[in-house]
Amino acid sequence: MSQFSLDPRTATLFLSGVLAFSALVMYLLYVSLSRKTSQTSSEYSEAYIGGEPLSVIRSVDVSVRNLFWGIVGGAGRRLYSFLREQMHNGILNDWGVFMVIYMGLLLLAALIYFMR
Amino acid sequence: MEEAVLISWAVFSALVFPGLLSLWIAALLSEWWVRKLYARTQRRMGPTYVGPIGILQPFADFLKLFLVKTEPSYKYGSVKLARIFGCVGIGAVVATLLLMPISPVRVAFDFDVILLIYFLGVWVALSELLMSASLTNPFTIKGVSRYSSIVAVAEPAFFTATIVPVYLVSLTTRENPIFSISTTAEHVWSLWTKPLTVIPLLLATMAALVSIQSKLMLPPFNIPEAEQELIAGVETEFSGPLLALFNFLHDADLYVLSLVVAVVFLGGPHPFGDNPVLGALTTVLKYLAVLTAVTILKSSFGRFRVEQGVTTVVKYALIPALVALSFSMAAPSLI
Repeated sequence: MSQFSLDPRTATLFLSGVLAFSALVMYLLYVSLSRKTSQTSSEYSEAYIGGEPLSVIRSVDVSVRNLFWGIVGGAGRRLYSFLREQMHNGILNDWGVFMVIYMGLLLLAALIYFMR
Repeated sequence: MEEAVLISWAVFSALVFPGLLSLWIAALLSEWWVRKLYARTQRRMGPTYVGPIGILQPFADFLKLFLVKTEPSYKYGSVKLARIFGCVGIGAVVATLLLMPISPVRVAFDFDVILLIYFLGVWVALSELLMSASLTNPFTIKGVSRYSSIVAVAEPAFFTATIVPVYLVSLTTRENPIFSISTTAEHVWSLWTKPLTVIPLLLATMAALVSIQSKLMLPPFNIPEAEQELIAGVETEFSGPLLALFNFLHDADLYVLSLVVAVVFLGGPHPFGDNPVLGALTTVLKYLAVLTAVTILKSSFGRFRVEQGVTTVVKYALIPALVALSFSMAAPSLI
């Protein structure tokens, strides 16, 4: 048994070389010994999805619209809950006052923006 | 002249021992041991038909897949890429074996444990992941994502555990090369006789066994290839020679990880290091003991969910390994 005391850099290069050489030999063995398919029907090369057609994946795909509302709903949930539970007490008149104030604020913001 | 000798030894090591040929034989024999023992724990016969007590069954399975079955063509993936990553994974296992004391050409230098981490942790795990991901399929992608979640915790746990005996040996013996697999394999046996070093070594060995279980996707961590749920998970699109290559890579990973535990944690040929025959026999017995422990763990649990798997690896592998390393580092004067 021979033990070679190499410096770390040479040893790393040496072992990386062994990795590459073994991988190459294995690849050549694989390519030369394994059998390739002669059958190339479209069904044969499809992905296996439990016997289902590819449309199954598309139908459960999350659309961009779902993703948008998922994020907005997730991020805005606290604000929405606050508005619903704190601002709206179930009395219609209060809700009317709130909406008038809210619209007034929007109008004010719009006026400030456009009259700059 | 010395370079020529080194290169000839390297070619022999890469192709014959401990390289491709012996790796193929040892990996498939390990598969037989696990299959037979696993079957016996479930009151089944296990492999019986090919060879005495079915010992040649994994070889027959491999050769049938490799030489008889055909490699299919895939519309949504790259077979060539899968082949390349499979072969790179095998190459990384061969390179790791050259750091082990069983190799005729043994590479040893200060801090060579980092190379073990690099080849075994980065290349082998990455090759398995990328080999599966090369063949696109919803089940494969799901399996790959589950495997990467587990590996992200199991790899640090395994290597933290490996550093424990390496660190303890460097601390107590101060022999050159330091932080080396060879030095550790030679002296770790003496640490099992000292009460203060037994505690971190026991914790580290336990952590290593749990990590091996999870890295190899064996029950209860067989989440990435969950049958009845993900068809075959990471293996769904493999068939014929590609499946043979993936199985070989998996068995080679099992072989090298168990060998690391048998040699680095349990001391390989010691206490019969002076006698080559008894030493080799002791190493084989320790290796079989590790494989048996892995198989018993495999047969004792049902499949975990992803978050249960990750939590278990953290609880029984990562934390014990960190505790063992901290204990070893914090109490050098005691040791």
